[in-house]
Amino acid sequence: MTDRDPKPVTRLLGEAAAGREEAMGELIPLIYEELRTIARRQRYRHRPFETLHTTALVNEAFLKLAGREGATWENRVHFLRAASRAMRDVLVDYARRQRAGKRGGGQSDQPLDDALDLPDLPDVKADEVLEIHDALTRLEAQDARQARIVELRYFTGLNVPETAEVLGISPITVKREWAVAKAWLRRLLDGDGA
Amino acid sequence: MSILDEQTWENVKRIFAEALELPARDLERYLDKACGGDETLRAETASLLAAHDRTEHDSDFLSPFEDTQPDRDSNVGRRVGPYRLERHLGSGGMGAVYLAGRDEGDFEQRVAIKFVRGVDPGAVQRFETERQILARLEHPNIARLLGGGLLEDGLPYLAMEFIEGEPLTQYCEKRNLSLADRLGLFMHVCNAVQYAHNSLVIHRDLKPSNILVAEDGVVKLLDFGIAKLFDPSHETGPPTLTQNRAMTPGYASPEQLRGESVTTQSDVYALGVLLYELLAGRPPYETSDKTPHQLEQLVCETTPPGPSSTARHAWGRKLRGDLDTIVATAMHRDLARRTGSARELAQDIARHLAGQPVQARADSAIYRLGKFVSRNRVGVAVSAGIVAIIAAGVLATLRQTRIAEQRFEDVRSIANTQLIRLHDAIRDVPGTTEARRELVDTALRYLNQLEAQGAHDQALQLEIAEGFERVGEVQGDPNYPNLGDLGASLASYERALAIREQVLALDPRDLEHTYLVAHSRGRLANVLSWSGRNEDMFRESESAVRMLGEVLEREPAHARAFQDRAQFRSAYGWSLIWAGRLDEGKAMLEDARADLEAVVREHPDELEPRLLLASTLNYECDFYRFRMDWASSIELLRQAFALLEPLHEQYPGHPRVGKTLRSTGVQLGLSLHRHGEVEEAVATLRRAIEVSEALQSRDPMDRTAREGVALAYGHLGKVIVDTPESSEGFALLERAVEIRKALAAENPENIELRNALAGAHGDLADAGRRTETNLREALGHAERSAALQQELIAIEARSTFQGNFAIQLFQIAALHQLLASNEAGDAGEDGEVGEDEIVIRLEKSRETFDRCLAVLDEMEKAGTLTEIYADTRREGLEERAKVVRMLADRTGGRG
Repeated sequence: MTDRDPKPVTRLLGEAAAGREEAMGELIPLIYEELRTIARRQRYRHRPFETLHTTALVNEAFLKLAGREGATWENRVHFLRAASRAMRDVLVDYARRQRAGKRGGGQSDQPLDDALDLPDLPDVKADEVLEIHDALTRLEAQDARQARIVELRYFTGLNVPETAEVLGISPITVKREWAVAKAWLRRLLDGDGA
Repeated sequence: MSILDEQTWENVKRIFAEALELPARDLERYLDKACGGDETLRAETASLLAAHDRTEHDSDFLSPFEDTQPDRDSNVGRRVGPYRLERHLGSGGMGAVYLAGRDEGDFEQRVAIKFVRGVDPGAVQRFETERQILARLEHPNIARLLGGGLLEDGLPYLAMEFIEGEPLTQYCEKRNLSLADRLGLFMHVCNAVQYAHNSLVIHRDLKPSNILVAEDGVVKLLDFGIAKLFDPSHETGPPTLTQNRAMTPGYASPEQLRGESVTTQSDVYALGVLLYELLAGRPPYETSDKTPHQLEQLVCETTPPGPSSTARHAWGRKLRGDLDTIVATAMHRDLARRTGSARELAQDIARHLAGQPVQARADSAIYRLGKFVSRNRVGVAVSAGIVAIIAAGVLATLRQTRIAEQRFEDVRSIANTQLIRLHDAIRDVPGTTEARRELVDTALRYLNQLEAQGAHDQALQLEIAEGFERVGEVQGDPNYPNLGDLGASLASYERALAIREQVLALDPRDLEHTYLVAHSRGRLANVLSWSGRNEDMFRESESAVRMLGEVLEREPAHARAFQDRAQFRSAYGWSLIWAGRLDEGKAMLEDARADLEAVVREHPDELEPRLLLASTLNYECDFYRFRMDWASSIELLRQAFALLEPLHEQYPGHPRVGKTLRSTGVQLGLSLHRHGEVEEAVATLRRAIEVSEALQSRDPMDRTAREGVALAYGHLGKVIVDTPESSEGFALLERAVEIRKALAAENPENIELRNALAGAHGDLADAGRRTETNLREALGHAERSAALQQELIAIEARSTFQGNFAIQLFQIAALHQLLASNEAGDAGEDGEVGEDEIVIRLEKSRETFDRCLAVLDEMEKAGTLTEIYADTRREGLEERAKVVRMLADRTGGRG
């Protein structure tokens, strides 16, 4: 993918920084495709049994898409904002396919969709992704910013300072909102107060 | 969940954030204040805070994607231990599975290698322990665990027997197997599960994909016990499907869904679901379109229609009746009503196939036991509140204890926590002897298994020791309401001591472990004294008291050591007195008394110290009894009475209070009688009988209660045979003998009970002799008593046995003498008794006096001739002289 022209993305990132909202909308499908491509190709070189590490995935995608020139800190922040949504979509899509491919179990071979040749998600994580995805749409109605925080932290794997940077709020606020969001989601998933 | 308006939501977030900073105890007050009566706000915040607590215990929740994940193809060819990965077989919640071959040696062994995800490095030890337990499972229907370990990067793996086959349900459907064939295969599954349960392994995740039928038609269960290795939320996690990897929707039991402890019966539940599916061709619950919460409600709150009504097969109608019932019972939501074990399930299927009536409807043994306990408690005059609390505990625990076999932690919790809690709850509740007997058997079995498994875990060993101690207490420690099995109690106490000694040996300076060993020795000493092993008792007591002294020297505020030392000294002193070492015993008891008085002063409202003090006063009075100092005895016993009467009012159904009050009443009545205060003596003894009969009626099986009744009857009987109520007195003494006889026969190893029976016979003999009535019966009783005492001396040369033997010999001699006199009188009137017979009787009398005096001489030489026996000797010498004179008169008259 090194031969891919990074310019459109860099331009879109610039526009997103300037506040043109449509630029973000255009960015997401691009990033989505890139994330899937990287994930599919992901071969782990250092450890025999590696992880599906979403942050690494997103970072790799960013470097690819933005290219050498575009890989500025400012652009990265905008990229992450867009990538978190794309990453969520990738994972949800992925979990859905994995679950559809899984019937039965045991030791029999269950080939997954070859087009999505990612490392297997643990079933429990696949279920969780779908549950959180659904719950998050409801959280969005109550508190959109909290939903964004969950997207960044859970789906994209950002830490508190990175999340604060992307959203332009203080780390303390991120921490506080994160705690509420977690409790809110936990409560929803546990079926309390429904 | 409705969306809150922005203002309320902002308030929720603010109060939530502030609440997180507060200590838990201030939370309620803070919420009341901060929410100012706004119920929506309060409820919303409180439920979020509760959910927050749950997230705190679950580090996995919303953690980013970093799970260790074997990448499939790149691993083919990789070496894992002695195996080489050949092919990726599949991946599941627990990790990836590969087909692997063992490339060493002459033969090619094919195995399934399972990589384990998410095993916390801290849990590696547990993983290893579990793995070793699982490796011991060897059953033709269970896929074997062949090995396992950690890869160099810390990733755990398991090597398992590789099974090629298809899931049981699929196998049956594809081949259109008959009902009988399906049931036959299912029984194989049950047998394999039962085997694992017997080895303390619970599957936890039984489902068709874990139950394969190999090409040769043999059923193989996969992944036995594996689920537990992968369940990070095993200990504390809140119950949601999301994090609990070790369950499968539709097969998980209600208790698993609720996050309660998993038992062998959880597997039975899954077997019920499997049976349902085999019979109906479909699962009982439709799970695919349900959220975890909906599923939990469905499983925990509803009962599925019987397989007969949902079956896709032609045999649907055949399922009505037995098979519907068997399935429903195996899947019962209430553990107490669910089929007790896989074996029971298989047996019922077998009965059905054989056309015999099935048991599924019948209640299980423990269910009945639960009923028994609750039924018996109803008749007991304990306050309703206590009954409710105890009943809740008992039923919860009985549910636990009915589990046939359990895995390690479950066993550990039952053997220690559950049993102890239950035991403490019902220890002093009358009417629970049967329930406790069942509990003890169960607990002991668990403890034995635990001890073997936890050899290197010090904390666990100490728990096991405590478990043994509690079991010993219930089995036969006379200090507690017990099941009367001294031998078993002794064995359990010895186990506890041995374990604690091993732990202490690791660090001999450890204060708490020193205390525990001393405590064990003291407990053991007490039971030893009741088994007649006085020398052992003295040795253990000596050591316990000395060690406790060391503990107190280093830690003067060690309250348990202080109270224990007083208690052990008290028992020790009493045994010394009864072994004839009166002054030593008295000194020991005085030390104990002084310490206990200090404890009572400091904690005037506590039951235990007051009870111990009352017992100690009782023991001390035995010193004066041996000295025949009735006035001093009366003074001490009145003090004990003053302690006990208010306690008895405060705890009317409390057996230990009742027992101590009874024995104090008996002793006091006796001393009063000896002191010549007959009226007060009779009144006191009647009160003691009242207390003892009430105690026994509450729990007719309780041995100490029965002994108490015999004791009270005996003493009142002895007192009133000399009064106008003489015949009531004889009747009471006869009843005492009957009770004693039964007790001694039921507990042949208990020499104290035989000693007591000897005493009861002696009492009847004495009564006859003193009142000069029923002389021949009296002689029979005296001879029986002497024979028993002789048996006892052969077992143990205890001075009191010798003394009592001497006294019975005295009685026999005196009774012969009396009979001779009476017969002589009769002979003079009627001429029916020959002169020779009278002489023979007198000679017997003289000979018996000689034997009596010889025993007493021996005692004098041994320094154990206390005043009571010295009196006997004095009297014996006088009486012997009389007999010699009578003989001289007779023979002289003839000659």
